[in-house]
Amino acid sequence: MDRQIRPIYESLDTNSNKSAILACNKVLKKQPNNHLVKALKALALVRSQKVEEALLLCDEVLASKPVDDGTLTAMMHVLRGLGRHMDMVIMYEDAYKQQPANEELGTQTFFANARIGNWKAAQQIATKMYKQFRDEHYLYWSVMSAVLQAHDPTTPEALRTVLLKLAQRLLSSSPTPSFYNADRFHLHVTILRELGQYDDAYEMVESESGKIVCSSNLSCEELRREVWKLKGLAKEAGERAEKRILEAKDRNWLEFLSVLDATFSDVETAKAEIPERIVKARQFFGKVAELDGVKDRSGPLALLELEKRARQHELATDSSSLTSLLESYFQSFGGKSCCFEDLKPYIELEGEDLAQWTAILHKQTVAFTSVPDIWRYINAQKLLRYNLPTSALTTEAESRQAVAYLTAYLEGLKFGRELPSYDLQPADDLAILSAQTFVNTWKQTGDEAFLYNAAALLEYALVRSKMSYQIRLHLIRIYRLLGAPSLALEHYRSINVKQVQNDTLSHFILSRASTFSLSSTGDLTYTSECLESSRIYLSNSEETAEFIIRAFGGEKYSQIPDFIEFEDRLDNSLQRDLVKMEHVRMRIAHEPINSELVDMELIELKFIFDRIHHDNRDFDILPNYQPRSVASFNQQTEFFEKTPGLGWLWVYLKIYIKAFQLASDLDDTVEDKLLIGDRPKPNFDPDTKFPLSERLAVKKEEEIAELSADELHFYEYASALSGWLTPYHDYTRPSPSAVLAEAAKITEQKTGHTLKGLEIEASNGHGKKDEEPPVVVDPPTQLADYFGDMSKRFKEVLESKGLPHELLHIVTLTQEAFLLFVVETTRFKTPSVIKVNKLGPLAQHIKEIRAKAAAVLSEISSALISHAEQEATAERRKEIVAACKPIIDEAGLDHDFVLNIAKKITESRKLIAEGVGKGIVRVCKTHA
Amino acid sequence: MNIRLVRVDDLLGMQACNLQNLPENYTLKYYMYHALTWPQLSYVAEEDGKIVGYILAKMEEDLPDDDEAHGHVTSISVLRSYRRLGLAKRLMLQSQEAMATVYKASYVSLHVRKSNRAALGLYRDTLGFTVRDIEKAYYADGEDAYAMRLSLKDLAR
Repeated sequence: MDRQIRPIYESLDTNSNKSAILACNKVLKKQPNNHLVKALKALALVRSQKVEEALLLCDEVLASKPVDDGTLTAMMHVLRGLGRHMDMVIMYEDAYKQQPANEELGTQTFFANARIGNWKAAQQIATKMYKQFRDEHYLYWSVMSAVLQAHDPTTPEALRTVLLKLAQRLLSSSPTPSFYNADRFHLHVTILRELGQYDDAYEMVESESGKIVCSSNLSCEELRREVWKLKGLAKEAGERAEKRILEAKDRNWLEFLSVLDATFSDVETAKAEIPERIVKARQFFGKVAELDGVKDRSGPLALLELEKRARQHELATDSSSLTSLLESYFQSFGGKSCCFEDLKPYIELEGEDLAQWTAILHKQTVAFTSVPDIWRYINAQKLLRYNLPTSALTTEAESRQAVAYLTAYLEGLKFGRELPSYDLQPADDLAILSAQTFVNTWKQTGDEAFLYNAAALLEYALVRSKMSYQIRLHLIRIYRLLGAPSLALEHYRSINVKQVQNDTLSHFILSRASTFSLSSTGDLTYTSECLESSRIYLSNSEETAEFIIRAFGGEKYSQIPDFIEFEDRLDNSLQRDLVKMEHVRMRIAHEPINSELVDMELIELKFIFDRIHHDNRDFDILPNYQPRSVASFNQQTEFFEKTPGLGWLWVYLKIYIKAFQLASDLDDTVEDKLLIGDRPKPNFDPDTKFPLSERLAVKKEEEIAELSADELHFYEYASALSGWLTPYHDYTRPSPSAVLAEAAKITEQKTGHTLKGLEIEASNGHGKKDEEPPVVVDPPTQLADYFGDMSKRFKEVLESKGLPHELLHIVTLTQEAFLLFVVETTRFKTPSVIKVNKLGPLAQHIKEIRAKAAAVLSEISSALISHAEQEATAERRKEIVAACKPIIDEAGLDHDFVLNIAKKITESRKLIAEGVGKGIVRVCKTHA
Repeated sequence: MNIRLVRVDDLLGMQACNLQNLPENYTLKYYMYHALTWPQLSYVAEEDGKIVGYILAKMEEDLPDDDEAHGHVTSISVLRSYRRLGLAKRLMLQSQEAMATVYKASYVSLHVRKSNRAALGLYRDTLGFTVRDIEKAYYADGEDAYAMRLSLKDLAR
């Protein structure tokens, strides 16, 4: 037997699925009921994407209720590949029932439940295992599972305490105390804390053994700190922290915060005491500052924080002390690059204070003699700029300032000549300051000339600091505004984002990416960028769950909630689904719109519509050096200053779910029968409990607020379109039994087997309907006028010389509106459908709208293509170079360098405008 | 500035440090493996909730018979604007202490780019590492690495 099986494993190991299948078939010929071989064949089939055949075998093996290790392991991989985690649980449960003395099976059953977060069952299994095998770690598994069930958002509030009490009871039955193992101790104290038994928790952490555990385990020490806080021991914590700071030379900021919190504790009841406490704290921090000198920032920062809090409580005694603290901090740490970030929370000054502070900073001049000098200048400039009032931000003043920053940058380059090629220039932030100042001027004036200056000078700085992701992120934003997406993408790729950065940073390039997609012409660059960036989510669901299992195995209880949280944050990442939405938008412009696309996307989008999202996008990575009186750089450089978020996603989901629902023949009953794999866990948000049709119809202020004006217009159009067509779809959609019969027929053609679990009543397709067809009404005006309106919008923006991204936004939305129309009217293209259902007038309306849309699109297309041609001319390049006068003539940047950038920008622009234009022609032709 | 143990969800916050300093491509799994297997050895430096530096370290596995138990610094990184504040040193010391006391490591090893003078200075002059070997073409781009180590015998208790 072994001799026959080994080659199968070998083929699977080397990923030669074809030969694995052949080897399996050979064995199965002689032993048609060998379940291990069937399971292995199913695995090879799953891996070769032959899902239908795999399902058949998989179900056969499951029905045999396997118990042997080989079959179970193979099936575990098969079921995981199919996303059928529930079945995995059932499989192991059945096996364990048959062999209750098998500890390994018990463990696997526990793990199967843990993998899908089925904590209730996991807890019961662990309890049973503890009773049977008397191994203490099963007891702790059951305790941990009870705690996790209590944490699960779907667990009702009242049940939570019950579960925590259960966990506590289980713990007290343990023969050895929890402090023998730091992670068990951590779990124990956590339970007491969550039950609000702070005295008991305190007693545990302050016991002889508790102190030892906390002193050697940082996670337990963090917990101890929290328990003190919850017990209201701010004063005691402060005293302890003072000791740590003085005696152990601990410079963790948390210790300093403890001293500060103690100083202002019971501020209401002990108001009289506080001034004295402030004096004491000032002396204490002063001593630390003196002791540390420039070696550590904690002391001086604590003094600033003390002053700030004293001011907040109106207990400040000396009005000039804040500015003098600021001055002294700047003197000590102005040469460190973190100085600006350090001081930012303390410099929102007014009047006399501000004037004094400003005067101090102005003393810092451009005469650099060392790298710390450059930093002192950069910090002074950032700090000054932060407080500029709008009145100081005139176009003249700002352009002068931008040039001054750039000049200082060029001067500062001297100090970075010797650096290795991968290092960054110390003066880089001056280039960034200059670029942000130009961008601010663009924002105030609307004159895109300033954006060219910013782009060209940043490109220059990048030559000197090749690895600067900061400069690249700035360029990505600016190039997107300028409608040069190929350049933006080039920079994004050079940043080389990996792993989890795909989740946090892909928004830079994929936010509203369908604006720049050329999928309509068959260019799948952006489409594949979407897929590429989404791979992290798949590896997360595979890998993180395994680490949760490992953490149980190694009794690392304190880490389990972290792993679960992490898995959840990636699984339900907002960015994941924003990208998914963009991908759908690109897909319909490229692929044939048929039931395969519509049905699959419908199911996926409905799943997404039930998720609770986490926004992991990192916007803070883009530094902001704009004055606090204007919008941040991040905001300024978003399209229309509107960041697509949850609201935006919700609107688009509603639009597309509705459209695909109309186009699809799948109703819920059919979908249930055809779905492979588990449904997502039900959501606990009460909003998702309403019927889908109601949820799709809801329009919310806060969602609409995230749309651009043209997106809102598109939303109204989409609602009108689906509202108009719904009755006709509902009337003509084939009956569920007919749909199932069709699905069965296709499966049989593909696999030679009938679709399992389906009993199909005999029916002859379109049965005669009892009701009369709905009366055809005229399309609503939002629908009828849409394409005409968009034609006007296009001309408006073209004539007013709006930025290219605005133009492309309008054009791609118009094309999308047309595609949505195609999605929702394909059913009525079949003449027999119209005839049988007596919908002749509807067909007439559809024809008219389609013709109107096609006419508008073709007009837009030719205008865009001719616009593209004007873009890539020597004249246009000259204009851009002329616009860059400030950086060339005043700061002295090389003319030819700028000309080269101008060339790149205009070429990229031509490419996209021409591509989108030609894509429209193709889309119209495909769907004529 | 706080130094604390690394947590799994720090992975999301650590990416800024990686963008700047880490051309190597470590998988999600690799970070998790570190956090789970040697939970006492990896730390992050946090400032106002922002992760500005971290050290990822492990105990060397599969040792040859003649080698002693020792730690290895997989990666250490400090955000550029938080350099020259003694952060890397604090992260390193914290990890070394745990290597010696928790895992009884007798020394710690690491690799550094030959051209990275700043890091070399930190390891050699500030922390007392010595160069043991040169590994040819250690990095993906073909650059050589210095293999450095530091005895932890004084820290053992």
